[in-house]
Amino acid sequence: MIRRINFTGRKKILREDARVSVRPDTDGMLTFDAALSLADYELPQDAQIFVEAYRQTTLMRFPHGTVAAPQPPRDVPRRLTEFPTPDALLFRVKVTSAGERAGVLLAEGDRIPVSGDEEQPDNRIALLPPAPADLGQEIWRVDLSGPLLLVNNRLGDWKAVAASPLFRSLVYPAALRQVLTHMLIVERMDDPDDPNSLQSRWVAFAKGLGVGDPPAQDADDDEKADWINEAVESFARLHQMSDHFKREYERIREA
Amino acid sequence: MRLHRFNVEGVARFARFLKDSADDPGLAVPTDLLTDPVCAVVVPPGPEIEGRTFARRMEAARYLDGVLSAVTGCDVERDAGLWGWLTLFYFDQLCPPDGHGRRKVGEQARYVPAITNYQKYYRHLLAGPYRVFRAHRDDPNRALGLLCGPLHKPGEIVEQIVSRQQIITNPHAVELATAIYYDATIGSFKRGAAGNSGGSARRLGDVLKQFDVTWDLYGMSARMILGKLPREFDRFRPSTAA
Repeated sequence: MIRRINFTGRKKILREDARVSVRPDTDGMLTFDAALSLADYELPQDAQIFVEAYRQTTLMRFPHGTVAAPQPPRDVPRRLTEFPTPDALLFRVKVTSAGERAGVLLAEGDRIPVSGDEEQPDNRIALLPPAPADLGQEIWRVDLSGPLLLVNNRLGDWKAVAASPLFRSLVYPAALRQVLTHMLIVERMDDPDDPNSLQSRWVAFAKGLGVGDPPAQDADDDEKADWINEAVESFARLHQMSDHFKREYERIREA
Repeated sequence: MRLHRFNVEGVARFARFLKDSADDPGLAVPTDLLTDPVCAVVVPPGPEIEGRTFARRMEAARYLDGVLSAVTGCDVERDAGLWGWLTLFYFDQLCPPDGHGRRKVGEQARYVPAITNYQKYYRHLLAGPYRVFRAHRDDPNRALGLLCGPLHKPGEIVEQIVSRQQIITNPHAVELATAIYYDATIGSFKRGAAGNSGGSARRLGDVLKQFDVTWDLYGMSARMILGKLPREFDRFRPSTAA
């Protein structure tokens, strides 16, 4: 992986300071609203804000005023004409210099999910929001591009499925192992200087489970696998996954 | 013929054919699946699809954009059944037989899109160019460098550019890639644009990824980005700026 060096001290916009909601317009077309709180970032008042909606090869970009007045221009509709559904839709907020250094990126918040789709931690992983997808006969799958936890929408109320104790206890530890394995062993990612990087956020999440720093990029795969196992064990222990599974399984058997 | 899409059974049977073809390259193409009611259903509102021959990815993408713009009730880009059916419909162009009627079938993602796999979703031989065309349909010629090849051979340069979400969605970056790597006199890529050497498409991806940390590339013109490229790209610079 190529390391990206943050020469210009670009600031990271935190998820809680950039909330994006999506709703269908009267004609069914999706529109969005972005609530941005940028006052504490010490950005120039005339810096320009852009909100980008994206999914794979599709991107729509919208001007969103300035730091002094973070509102979209009235004549710019916020209609997501390129996105028939909000599935796997993500947003990015950019703040760029408007002065002599026009075009310089001053702050950025990336991979912002649609508000309401982002589940809160409890037994889940905040960095792995669930999303519906047609998975044929598969129940779930990790989409590593988000990453997202895809849940088969053929199951009916996929949100209820994703929220069920049985699903959580079986799926989330496995999904966590898959994401960490992909990042540390498959992609061999190493980008600790970039707080925006997905790896930094996942490593911070794993360290929060009490397993310390991950092995260095050039460490052997066994060492990395041990660290990942520790993280997953800790995650399962913290959320009492086995207990939840047992209780739910017994309940179903007795029903 | 009316445009159809495969249901789960149709996708499964087509995938089985692809898998079996690896062992038996002379296997007959199961075109009967196209209209088998067990495997395929008409896509509303039932637009016609023609068995055309496409010289380049660009022509295929343009034609499919015209046909699929009429489709309602599904998320076209993410409909694996639709793209699987279209692949079988145009299979002779996507996986042409040799003189002995044998086909060299590649990885499955080229024929049935891996919609949720970010490392493969763009590799589908029809959905790939369609997505590029759609992303740049206000001026498709800016993406000519990514759509100039034949349907069955997208090439490494396409892989390097299209696999990077921040580049393929940026009209100025795509315009730049076409300007520096596409040779209009031969209708193909310049020599040396593929591979790992200095100035190659792989290097362009790496350099733009670094630029993306510092600059809002979406807000810069192709000419501005070109002006910031290191000297390793000099041999590809167009004589008139992009």
